[in-house]
Amino acid sequence: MIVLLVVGLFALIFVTAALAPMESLGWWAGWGAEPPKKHEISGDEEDGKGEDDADFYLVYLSGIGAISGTSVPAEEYPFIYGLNKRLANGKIISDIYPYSVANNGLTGQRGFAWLWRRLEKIAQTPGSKLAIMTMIINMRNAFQLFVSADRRYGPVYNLGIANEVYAGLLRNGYRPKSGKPVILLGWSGGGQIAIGTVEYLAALPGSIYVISVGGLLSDDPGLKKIDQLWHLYGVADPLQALGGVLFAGRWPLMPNSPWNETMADGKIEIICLGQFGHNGKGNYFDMVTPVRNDAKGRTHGQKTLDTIVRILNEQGIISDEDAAGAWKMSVPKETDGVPETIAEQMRALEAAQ
Amino acid sequence: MMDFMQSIWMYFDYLWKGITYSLRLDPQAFQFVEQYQRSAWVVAGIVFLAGASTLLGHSAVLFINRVRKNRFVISLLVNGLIFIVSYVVWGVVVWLTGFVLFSVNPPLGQFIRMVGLSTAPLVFGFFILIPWMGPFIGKLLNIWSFLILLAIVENQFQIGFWGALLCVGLGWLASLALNNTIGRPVMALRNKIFQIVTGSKMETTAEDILLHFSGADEIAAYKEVAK
Repeated sequence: MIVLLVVGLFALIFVTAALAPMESLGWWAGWGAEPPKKHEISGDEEDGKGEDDADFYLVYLSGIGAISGTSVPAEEYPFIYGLNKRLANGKIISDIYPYSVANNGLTGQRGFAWLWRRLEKIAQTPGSKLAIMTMIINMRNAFQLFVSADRRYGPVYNLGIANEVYAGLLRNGYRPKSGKPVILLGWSGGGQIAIGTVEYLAALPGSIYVISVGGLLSDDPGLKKIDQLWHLYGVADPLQALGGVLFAGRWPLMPNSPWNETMADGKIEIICLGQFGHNGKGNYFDMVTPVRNDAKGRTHGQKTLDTIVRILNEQGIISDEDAAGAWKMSVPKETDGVPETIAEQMRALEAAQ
Repeated sequence: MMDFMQSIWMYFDYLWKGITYSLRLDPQAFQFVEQYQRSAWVVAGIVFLAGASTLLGHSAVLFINRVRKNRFVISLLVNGLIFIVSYVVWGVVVWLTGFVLFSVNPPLGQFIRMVGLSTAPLVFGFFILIPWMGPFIGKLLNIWSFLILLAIVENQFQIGFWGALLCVGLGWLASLALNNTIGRPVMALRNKIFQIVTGSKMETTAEDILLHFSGADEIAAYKEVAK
């Protein structure tokens, strides 16, 4: 009986994995909504909506725990809040869902939306005993990450996400002709999707940068068009290290792969943050646990934010004064930026403990 | 009506057994094919499923060429039928190779049915769709299929492993030679049928999408003019 269950579970996982590319391929083939047309990412649009008063645009692409553009794991909200505070001269865009070509969150117009809504409720209940069930979300989104990295599907998938990123930029006042820099900040799976979309977003007149926070990165062809990639990682994070193992183009044996050629061009910088893990205590967004042996006594999340500020400062995107001001800012609280319903539950759980 | 339903049920039962026994290289599958003339329908079912499933595994090419839903389904069915024809030809070629090299001549019809059983692993060809590891799964399925074919040739011709390997290897070379000579019009016809069914010339690749939408083709054209 147990053997049958295990075989059934594996069969289900394999079938789900096989169906993973269908959403993006169906979108391209025009089976659902309108298929994309040439020049949608052309930079021809003269005006975006709203004021283009930002010095730069930073698009945050969430990790594989995200449910929609606005529903991400609770730990990411204070991080996004911290980014907004520290990068006041730029525009932070965090409503793109990088695991759907049509920016259709899992709780949107979908056949299994009811299932995702239930899982979302579990994910938004701090300390829930059913938290393990949210692994289904991670698995679903991890398959999309591999769709982005697969040369058979990547061109279609990454086009869809690039479309959505571009639409998000326009919604937030970006005007292509301004040539202002665009920074894609990808966390975990969002890192791979960020480098995938560069293939198309590089058509924009301004520079395009990618910051990967613990990203599982492949040797995506998009790397060849990148202005600079910074990959932030922790030594206690084996998931980000998987990218270097799973994708043959990242092996030193393949000097002509996009990854190794971009690395040889000096356009990839690998930055070790210290004893950071992918999940749990001591992850990249942990605003409570102090970093071991950090001279400034910062928390993990604070160090991640500070490093991003330093990168942008060194690249000349933010001024020395703004960077100095950002480094003096206090660490975001665990409930900063968190939707009120979740924050209330977090406070109640803390009080109970 | 009940008899008809029972026949359908029995057919799918045989189909399932045929696939699972072949995958395990169970001699019962060989015995069934040897003893029952009607096993041809079961074997044809296996080969048909293998053909449809394999194309489903490689269906990214259909999607990229924007084949419509109904044509997509018809393409899978047509590929199943093309697979049946291909395996009949393949069976004849291997049989002829064995006959010429080793002077063995098991009943041709029975041998072709046996060769059809070797497609059983390809029934799972749709797993090639799986991102990242799909192409690797595809290779495993092809190796599995090849091993079943070797076992079948060894069993039918009684020529030992190396003899079977030689037979299949030379049969494969002969097929290549046929495809590139007298088989060309047949291949052209097959491609034409496929184009009619899909309603597409199937010329677009994933790389074309990259070139087209990333603006790289325009940059290349611009550079050409600038020369």
